[in-house]
Amino acid sequence: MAVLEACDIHVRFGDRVVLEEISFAVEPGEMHGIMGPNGAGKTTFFNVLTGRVKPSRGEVRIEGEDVTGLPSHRIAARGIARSFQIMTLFDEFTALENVEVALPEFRARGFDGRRAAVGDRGFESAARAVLAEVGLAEKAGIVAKDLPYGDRRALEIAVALAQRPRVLCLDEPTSGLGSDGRARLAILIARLKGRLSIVTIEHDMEFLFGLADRISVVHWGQVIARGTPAELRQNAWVQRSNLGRLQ
Amino acid sequence: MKTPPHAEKLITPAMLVLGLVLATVPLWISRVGLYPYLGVEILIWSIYALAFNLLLGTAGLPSFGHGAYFGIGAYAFGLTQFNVAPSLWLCLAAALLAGGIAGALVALFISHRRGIYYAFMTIAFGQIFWFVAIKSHGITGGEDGLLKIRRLPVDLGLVSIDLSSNTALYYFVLLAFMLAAVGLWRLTHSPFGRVLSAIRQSETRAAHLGYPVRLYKFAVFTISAALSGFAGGLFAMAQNSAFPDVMSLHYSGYIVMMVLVGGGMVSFWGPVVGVVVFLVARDVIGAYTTSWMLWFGLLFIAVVLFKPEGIAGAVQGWWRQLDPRRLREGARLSQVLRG
Amino acid sequence: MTPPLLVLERLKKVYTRGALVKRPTFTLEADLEFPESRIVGVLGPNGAGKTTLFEMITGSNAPTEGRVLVAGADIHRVKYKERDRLAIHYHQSYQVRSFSKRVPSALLARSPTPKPILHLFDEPQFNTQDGYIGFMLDFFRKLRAEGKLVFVCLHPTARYHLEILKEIGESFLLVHGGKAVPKASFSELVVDERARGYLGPDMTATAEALA
Repeated sequence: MAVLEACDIHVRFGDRVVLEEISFAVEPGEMHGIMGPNGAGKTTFFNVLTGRVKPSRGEVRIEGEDVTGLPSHRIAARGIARSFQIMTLFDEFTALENVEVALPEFRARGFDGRRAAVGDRGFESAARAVLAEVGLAEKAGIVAKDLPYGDRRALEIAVALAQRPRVLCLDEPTSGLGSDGRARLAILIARLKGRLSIVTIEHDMEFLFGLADRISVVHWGQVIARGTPAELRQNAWVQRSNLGRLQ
Repeated sequence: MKTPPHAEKLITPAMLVLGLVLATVPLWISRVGLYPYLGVEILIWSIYALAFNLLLGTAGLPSFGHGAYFGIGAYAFGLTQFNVAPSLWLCLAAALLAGGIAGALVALFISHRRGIYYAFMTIAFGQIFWFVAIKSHGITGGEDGLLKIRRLPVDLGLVSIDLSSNTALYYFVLLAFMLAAVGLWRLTHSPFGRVLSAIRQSETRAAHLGYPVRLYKFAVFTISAALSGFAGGLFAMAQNSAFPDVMSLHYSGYIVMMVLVGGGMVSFWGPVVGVVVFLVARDVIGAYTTSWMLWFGLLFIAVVLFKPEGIAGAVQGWWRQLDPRRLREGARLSQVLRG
Repeated sequence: MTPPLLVLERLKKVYTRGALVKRPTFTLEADLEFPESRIVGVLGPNGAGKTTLFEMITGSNAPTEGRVLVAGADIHRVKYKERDRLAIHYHQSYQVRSFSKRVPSALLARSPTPKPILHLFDEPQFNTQDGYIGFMLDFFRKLRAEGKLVFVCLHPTARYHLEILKEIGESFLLVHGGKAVPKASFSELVVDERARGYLGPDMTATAEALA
């Protein structure tokens, strides 16, 4: 069964139709890429998947269960983690604190006001393990706003991973990263793939075609093409483009 | 607010020092030209300011009508004393509860709001409570206030301590202040406090991490209002009366000024600093001119313009400037030792 | 018998100027029928009325005379909210949905179809570099295979625009001189004098080479 599924999603803001009809399913362990020109509705689609926008028609399902219209915190608690196109970290928190607050066990104790969050060995060791995974083990104590850009991007992924999600939704994870940063991110995602499902909006074709199992091309609020990178590459026009030259 | 040192401790060295210094206040306050009742006032307003700052500084929720809950606590203390039983514990519990219930009621209507809309709603509700207090002459005494509220004795079963002297009351209120400070320190640095701080930094992000943001906003508003009500109860006891003016918009503004001038946004103790500066300034400047509020207002503007992090922020800044020099000296010392 | 997908029944749009003596500044006439699904390439100079034609077909711009029947229903007599269940007008990357709401929606009919059967693409942005062209053309073909009628309007300024038209266009529509004229094939389009004039000598030569 698909981990995350969207059926015939239709979204309009007033007179503007943003999503005409999108259907989509992520299989366990799959990396599903979403690409498309600006204004195609990719981020809105993400907002529908993560409960920020309620679709006018259509259904979102997590492991077969209808979650359409649930608030984002309920969807997050069901194992859908997301990063944002414009980075949103808790800037005043250290890297460690950012990750700790994302842990499900921290969330389970969210209303606990009687014990200290600082110095809790359980939270700290779990958070340090996640930081180590994205290569930030040495920077646990640095306040997020003082981290360099590439590390902030990595921390965003650490925060998402800390939620131990079933599906990781990344909105343009490479944006603003140089080639080193992209390479580092690609290695990280390749390692995560298979362990959990990943949905990525991405403009960097090289990045996406190298990593994704399947890609959905979104335009005019619809999926205009879908397939494995190899299938999509077979198209004669794609062969003629920069994409065809990549290989 | 960055996580300060000793955040994990229930009682910090700073708390102990503060407690000890405060315990000596009755011994010298009259000699510096002030009076013991000012100490009582400062402590009560400090409880109120810390409770307010849980909302503003930690959770980032601007409440500009917080005087309502302080006032409701004061009335609850008096009315319980008159109509139920003259027991200190019962009356204080009633003040806490009344503030909490009023806060919960308001929080129910405003917790889905953000920013300026949130602030406006708190003003609107604050004004409603103030108006009701003025108009319900039969219950609150209207503008004449609720008079003849007694300072009830501390009943410990076997012994009973009289609080009618300002010094005795001072020590009782100091105890309450220390308890409130310890509780709020812990709360601020608990998982709950961390989530509140996360919500202040980004509600959207917190929601996407699975936190029911509205419920947290509801909870923190209720806690803050309850504790403000508790402070209000102490205040009614201290001044032997309860008046609607503490519920008015400009009294609600005072608490905002105290907290911001003191540096509540960057420091847990900032609000206390603000209260001390505000109340001492009121008495000292007030001794020379009746328009002391003008001068304090100018101070407030100066702080907002030049040091938005408040007095506590400025002190932290100096401290940090000092720090590298001490570090360098330490390094030199260790070199000398090793060499 | 199923009604034709699209009928433009003596359709006429006239824009006039002047308060008392109305002088027409723009006219567009069309009397056409598209019985079944296909991909239609639409060409014509700027200002000839391609967009006006698309707006009339999708129900956002009322014709001066005549009717637009989509799947047998007069789209201008269908509830505003449901017109996009008959026809969608895409302008570049966005959907155009603006209706002048003169008649209350309650007095209008419901759409006979749940999903749009007409897709009109007004100057989609093609870029040979990113490879999206291939996906877009496949999408047009997919719609065609699902029984939809697809209009693709292009303003050929480069060789690949003509290649696209040649590749996917099953028939063509030349909007020129106040009329929408059907052309059965690419070669028939290329020999038309008005089309040649509009394309210019360079593009005409390219088009001839392709045909």
